[in-house]
Amino acid sequence: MAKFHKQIDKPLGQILVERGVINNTQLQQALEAQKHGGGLVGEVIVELGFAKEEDIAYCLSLQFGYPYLSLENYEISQEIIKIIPKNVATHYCLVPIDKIGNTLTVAMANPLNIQAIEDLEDITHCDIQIFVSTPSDIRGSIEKFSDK
Amino acid sequence: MFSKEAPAESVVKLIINHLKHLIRAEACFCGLEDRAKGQFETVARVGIDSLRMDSFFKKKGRGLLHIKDIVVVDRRNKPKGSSSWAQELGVKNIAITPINSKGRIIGLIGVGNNEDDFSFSKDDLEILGLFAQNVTLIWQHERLSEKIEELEIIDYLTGLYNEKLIRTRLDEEIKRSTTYQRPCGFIEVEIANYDDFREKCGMIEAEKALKKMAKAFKGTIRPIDIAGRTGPNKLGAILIESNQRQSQEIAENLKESLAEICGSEIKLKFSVAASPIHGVTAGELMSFTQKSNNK
Repeated sequence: MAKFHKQIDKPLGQILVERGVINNTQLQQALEAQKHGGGLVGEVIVELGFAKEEDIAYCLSLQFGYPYLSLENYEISQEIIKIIPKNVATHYCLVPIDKIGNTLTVAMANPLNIQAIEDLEDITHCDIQIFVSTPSDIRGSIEKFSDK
Repeated sequence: MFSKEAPAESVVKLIINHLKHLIRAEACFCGLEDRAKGQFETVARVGIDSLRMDSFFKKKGRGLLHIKDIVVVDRRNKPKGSSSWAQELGVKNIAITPINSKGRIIGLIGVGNNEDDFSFSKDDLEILGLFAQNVTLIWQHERLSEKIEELEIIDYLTGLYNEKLIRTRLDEEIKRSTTYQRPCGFIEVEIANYDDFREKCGMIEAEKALKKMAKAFKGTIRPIDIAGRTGPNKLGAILIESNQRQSQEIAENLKESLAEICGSEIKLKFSVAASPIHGVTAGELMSFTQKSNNK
């Protein structure tokens, strides 16, 4: 199943600077902190208080045309949540939210993670439609709906 | 026997048998310290039943670690505190000497008989001492070999990393990739008919084939990937930040390049696993590839 995905070579930090979410100095500080403490650059930026999770999600949504979805009040059925194993959902920070025909809609914190999308295609044999959401919302939904 | 890397226990058994013939002994034994249990365990014995021997070591426990010198119970010697030892071991006369390593008692070696009015000669006791020194050397060699094995990371035949290193690195790599929400692939190639091939062509040819295969295997995967020998007839590689699909592509390339060098006599099986789909630990990925190959 050969699929074409948006190929994005630009790092997230650079995108955030270009869209004015953070400035260059903040990006350098975040990269420095990441070098020492590890973690994803988006998470480091939020930890340092330079931006909110929502700011990053909005930015990704506007830049790449993925719709933004707040999962706070979103109900996910058991049938849907079980489509993606919990360990895969947690690993890639994503959650399935709906399935129509052979199209599975997934909320992801990082829609640029092509490898994650490929894995979803291989596991589900579905076409994947992506929404952007915040990591906290996604983790919350995984916990809330997975173990029901 | 010692130089041919026989197990230490077999060498000690041989020594005990020799000792029995050299000294007029009806019973001979050797016990070595089992650190986990904190007492001596029988390693070799002749002429004493195992129950009696084990119960002796169990009863004496850690007290035996404090024996400073040879203990002799015979016509001439009736030492306080240890004169009952002969009776406990079911003999009339005994001579027991500690086995020392770096100033610490690591075991005991002893001889005994049931002769009346018997005394061990100076020569007997000297021989016992010499045998104790031999056992020390064997024990030290065994510990050293274990240490070396623990530290080894390269497989001697293929020059690739060994299974232990691959397992450790795979666990580390999965942890790292999880932090960055990335996948991690693992591929395993097995010579399915290795035993038949070795029987038919001989050990040297089988090892040559494995060596050649290892070279091609390492040459085909990417330089950042980590190749190792994961079993007697298996090679494996950690495919850094590769998901299932990418790992399958690497497997296809490997199939082509290995088929060229292996010919039709060697039958290969390939299996691929990737984190997080097939597991989130090295054990889970390795057991997945193992199961796939066994199908």
